[in-house]
Amino acid sequence: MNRRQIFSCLGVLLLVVIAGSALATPPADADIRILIDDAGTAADHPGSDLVTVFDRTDVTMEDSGLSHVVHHSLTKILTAAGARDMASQRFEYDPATQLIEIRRVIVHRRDGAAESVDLAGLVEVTAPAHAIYWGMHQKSMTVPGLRVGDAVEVETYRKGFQIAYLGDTGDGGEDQYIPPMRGHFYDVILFQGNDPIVEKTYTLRTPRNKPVQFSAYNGEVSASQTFDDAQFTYRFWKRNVGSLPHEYRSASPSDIAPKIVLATVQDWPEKSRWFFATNDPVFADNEAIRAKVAELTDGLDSDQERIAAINHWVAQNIRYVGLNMGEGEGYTIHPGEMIFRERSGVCKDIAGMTITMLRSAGFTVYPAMTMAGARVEEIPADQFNHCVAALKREDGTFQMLDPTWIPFSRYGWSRAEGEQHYVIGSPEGEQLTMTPAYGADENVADLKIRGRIDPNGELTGELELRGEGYIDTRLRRSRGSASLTDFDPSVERWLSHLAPGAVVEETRIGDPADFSRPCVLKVKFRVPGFAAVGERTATWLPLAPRLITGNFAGTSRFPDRDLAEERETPAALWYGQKWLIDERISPPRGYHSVAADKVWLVGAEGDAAWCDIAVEAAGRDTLLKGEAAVRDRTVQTDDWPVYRATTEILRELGGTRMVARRKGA
Amino acid sequence: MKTTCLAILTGLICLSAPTTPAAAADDILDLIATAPAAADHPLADAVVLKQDVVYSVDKNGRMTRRERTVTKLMTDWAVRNLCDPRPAWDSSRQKLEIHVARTFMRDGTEVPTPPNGFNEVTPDAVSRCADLLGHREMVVSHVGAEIGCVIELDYEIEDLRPGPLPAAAREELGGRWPILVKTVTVDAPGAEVEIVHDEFLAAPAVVDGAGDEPRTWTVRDVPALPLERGETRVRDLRPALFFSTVEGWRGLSSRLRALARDTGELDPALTAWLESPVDDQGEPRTDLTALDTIERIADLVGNRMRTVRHDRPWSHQPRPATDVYSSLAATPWEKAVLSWSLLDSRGLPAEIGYFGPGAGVPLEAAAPQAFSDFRISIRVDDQNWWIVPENGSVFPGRCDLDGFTGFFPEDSAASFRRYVVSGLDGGSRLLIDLTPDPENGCRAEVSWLAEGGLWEMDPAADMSELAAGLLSGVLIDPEVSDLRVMEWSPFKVDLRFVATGSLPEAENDLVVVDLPRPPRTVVDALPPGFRANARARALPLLIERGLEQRLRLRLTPPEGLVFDAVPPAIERKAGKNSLRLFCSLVDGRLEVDRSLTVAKGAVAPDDFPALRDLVADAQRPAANRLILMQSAAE
Repeated sequence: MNRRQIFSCLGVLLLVVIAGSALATPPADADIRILIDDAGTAADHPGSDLVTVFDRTDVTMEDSGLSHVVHHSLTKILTAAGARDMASQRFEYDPATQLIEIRRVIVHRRDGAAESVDLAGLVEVTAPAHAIYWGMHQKSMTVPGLRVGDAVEVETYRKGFQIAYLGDTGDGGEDQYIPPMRGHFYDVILFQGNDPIVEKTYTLRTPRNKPVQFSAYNGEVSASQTFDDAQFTYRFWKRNVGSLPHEYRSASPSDIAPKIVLATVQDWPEKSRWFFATNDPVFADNEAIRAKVAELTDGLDSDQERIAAINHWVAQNIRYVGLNMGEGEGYTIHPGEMIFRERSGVCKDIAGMTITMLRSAGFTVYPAMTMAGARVEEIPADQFNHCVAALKREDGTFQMLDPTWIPFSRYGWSRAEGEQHYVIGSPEGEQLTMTPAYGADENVADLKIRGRIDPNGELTGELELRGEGYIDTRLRRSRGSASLTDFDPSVERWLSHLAPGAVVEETRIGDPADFSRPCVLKVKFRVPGFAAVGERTATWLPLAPRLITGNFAGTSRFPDRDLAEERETPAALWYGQKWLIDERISPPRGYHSVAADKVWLVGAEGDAAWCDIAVEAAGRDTLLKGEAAVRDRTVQTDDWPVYRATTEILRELGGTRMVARRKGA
Repeated sequence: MKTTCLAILTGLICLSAPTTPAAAADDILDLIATAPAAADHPLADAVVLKQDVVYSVDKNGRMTRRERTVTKLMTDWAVRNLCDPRPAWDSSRQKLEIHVARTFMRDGTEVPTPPNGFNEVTPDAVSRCADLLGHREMVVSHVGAEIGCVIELDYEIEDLRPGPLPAAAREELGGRWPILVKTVTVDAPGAEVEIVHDEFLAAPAVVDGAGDEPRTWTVRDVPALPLERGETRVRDLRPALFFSTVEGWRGLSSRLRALARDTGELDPALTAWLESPVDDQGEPRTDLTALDTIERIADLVGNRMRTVRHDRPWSHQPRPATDVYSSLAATPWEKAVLSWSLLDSRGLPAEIGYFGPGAGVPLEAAAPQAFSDFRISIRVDDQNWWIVPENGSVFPGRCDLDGFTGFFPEDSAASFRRYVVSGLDGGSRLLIDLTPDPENGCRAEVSWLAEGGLWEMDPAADMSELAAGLLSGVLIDPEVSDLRVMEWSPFKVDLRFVATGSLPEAENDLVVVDLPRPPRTVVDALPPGFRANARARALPLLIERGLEQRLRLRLTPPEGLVFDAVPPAIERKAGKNSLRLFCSLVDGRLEVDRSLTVAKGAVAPDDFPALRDLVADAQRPAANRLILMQSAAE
């Protein structure tokens, strides 16, 4: 599990920890040699630069929740690129809440020699960072002279957790390493990664009064549980696992790799109450905030208008940057007055601003933990990477608001966040819940094209693209979130899918910050030499299919690329969508369409994807009318063929010549 | 113990009041009051209201660079993307001092960057090379930012000890955003100063000062000079001021040679590797030719070592060869020096070429900052070979960096020479005579001659497949016979062959034939960012590879087919560039004659539309296909 990613936004509790030193007895040198030899060569692992011979994690949890982790790994180098990668070893950690020791690094040469790397060469600096500056460090070292066939053995010891801070942090005692949800422990362990694995083992020891609930997902993982007078011992392992497949729009590794999720927390309501109690004090307003709320809500009649006004103001005015507040960073939210003054924060702070302002306006609002882009399993382990707001309605239900994801969006909750798990932090305690799906009917792109071909083959036309749901958001962001110098070229690039020399004559788009109406893009254009006009015939290619796969501003889920016939994992599209097509092209004067009525058909409405586009003659003109859609945000492997066929038929239609004949020819 | 102590690094960051009159911020309120509105710069996300840069060099050769920039943010994009600038420095020999970092909100409220808004980070480029972690960035986050706000940052980077070369610098005078006023002060007695590409300034820089006194160059109202997406050679075109305290090019040559020699003994393991089995499999090599050795060295340095390309390539001298080999990571300069050393150790004397973009290299100011790329030049058996140290490419003939200026420090006399690599225009002539064939439908006699660097390619594994590909769109599954490879060298291909097959199948009674295209098209000659429908450009368009293409297709249709639509006649000329397309139909036989010339060089913004239209014409769908109709449909 990539903890940096998991906690990058919200950081809600990161645990992490590490186990007692005596727990991982290093294998004897002779055993290591055998393991290395048995791990195979590049021929045994085609496409891989490295193979993990073993990856062993040993965790011992104390009653306080403090944990000790020993990580011991052996990685064999299969290619020159693998040697290049292993030559640099980096160990990232948060010095405020973690301790890390690099205990040993040994190079097992291919000729059998074993060389310990001098740990005096370790260099410690602040780590690379973008947008979130919470003071992560890295210890780095060079592992010298690596060659194909060598193997690198690394053992580290960690204590503490990442990101979160607790209580007194400056006394140098153990408290700073105890997780914020004191006395508890959780982890998510993936048993598949970018390199093939021969053996991966995870061992956890907890006090007898701290039983762990766990479950395996995405495939089998072997497990055992034992106990003695002092502790439970849980062991999980898996052998001979191939690398994760790299496929178009791969789902999150967390959704596809075999994994164990474990936690000592009893249930989600317990986590919910803790999250509420930890953050509730920060949502106090002040005079400046009250004045802004009054300004924003002045004259608005309904609660929904007031909610929208505040949520959108936050979305548009609090920029995303994470500065380290110190104590509590990572799982606590910055005070509302600080965010208001600084106009900046990460998702938890931006959500906190909405909560502060809505509370100031008299609403009941709580923070919520969520996971954008991957599932949250039912075991109440921290699996979140994002923070949002939950407004409690009078009937006790909640309205979810996500100001971080809705800059230049009409909605209070992004249509790319459908089927997303969340847990609201409330005094009563809430269960794990999921947002509704936003499928094809909620994200509609309506593309209307009118064009006329002159006797020289030049096409003059107009198009109008309007959308609902995430399509509308994408259109707004093409203008509102983009650099001024990028918008016109982006339209030109889109139109160049019709022909490299397609000329954009005029572009108009609605005000991206006017959320009262859909954002509409209108383009007038001409395409010299678009059609081949002969003595008796005129031919051209239809526009709409190529504009869809041309993917203006990321609006399309139908790519202009060859898709694999089959796939091993689901494809993550983030939102279902439907394209409505209405294209009418008039041939040169004296010609009339000879389009034989034909329907380009794949699947049917309600399938995972479908295309139903009719090409027909209407008077002199040629019409394309119909729709192409993908139903859900995720295309399951069983549904892949129909999605692929829908994409292919759009591309095929885009390459099919339309014909008109001169009267009498 | 190499562990770098955070406390020490942090201690180098000092927030204090401005310390020099030049940076005194007395003018900030005036700048804000007189700042333009968004409507005054409708295509600018930001406007630089004022930028002052001061270079000071002390008697020990230590340089201090101080920069103060005041920028007004006009758009949401600017607020989200420009508020976290990252001054960068080399902590192994420099210190950074931030003097001022603050935001002025629209209502005039001043919001200083709080202490937690200064965050030192490791630059991504060096994060995987422990030896180079002295390179640091300080993220300065402006808080309180909103559309219409003004941000101010004033910082300086001071040498604690001199760099490996005498003080020198390149300072851009224009950028992505309009600049209302920029001053560059050079306080370095005896320094040579030179401005390149001043043609893109609204008015020449005004100089204040003379002799050994500090001199200040001022430019005003510099227009935005944005690049198109995909273009990377910004250094070619933006106006820049160079200054150098190096003793001329001859002096720079001598120093670069000395630094290259100073990388120490080669690790025996490194030289032994050259004879080791490829990919460490099989038997050791004992029969390496000179070219084998060159290729192995290029592979070792280019492919088996990570390239670390960071922003301050001249800040530290190349590490010892042993350290570089140990870490399997190297800067481009280090890769060049290591390649050169390895070749030298094998008795293969080579030269390191330091390359900078065309006219962006100054004539007098000998500043290494003019160079961005490295090549190794070596002669073997009267043939000149080139190595690209960054990626391991080895190729004969002429340098690939068309339009660049190369600087070659010479060994014997510590002199220098420089030359401009001439372009390698690609020429192609494709002749096809296609006639009906009773058995196969059609028979084509084909001749293809291609010359020049643009055509550089390895001999095809299946020549028949390559030949058949030339008729793609003309014949379906052509069968190639009588294939004669008249010549095949890296830069020249001469093929003759016969192919038989049928025209594409009729659809709606129409047979659509695409004009044949050789493996390289006009698109290959144009830079990645080029669009044939772009409205305008602010900067010249650099065409790095010229192209001349000629196509002559004679087509006598099979019985039952007649021509209905043929490509339109086109005759366009744009400077040295031209497109001519002509079709004639005589006795049922069509002859298409198309010639296209795109010349290497820079196309000025005013000349861009003509070139754009020419290229668009060349790519028109209707100009690249012809349509036949079944005569029964007449």
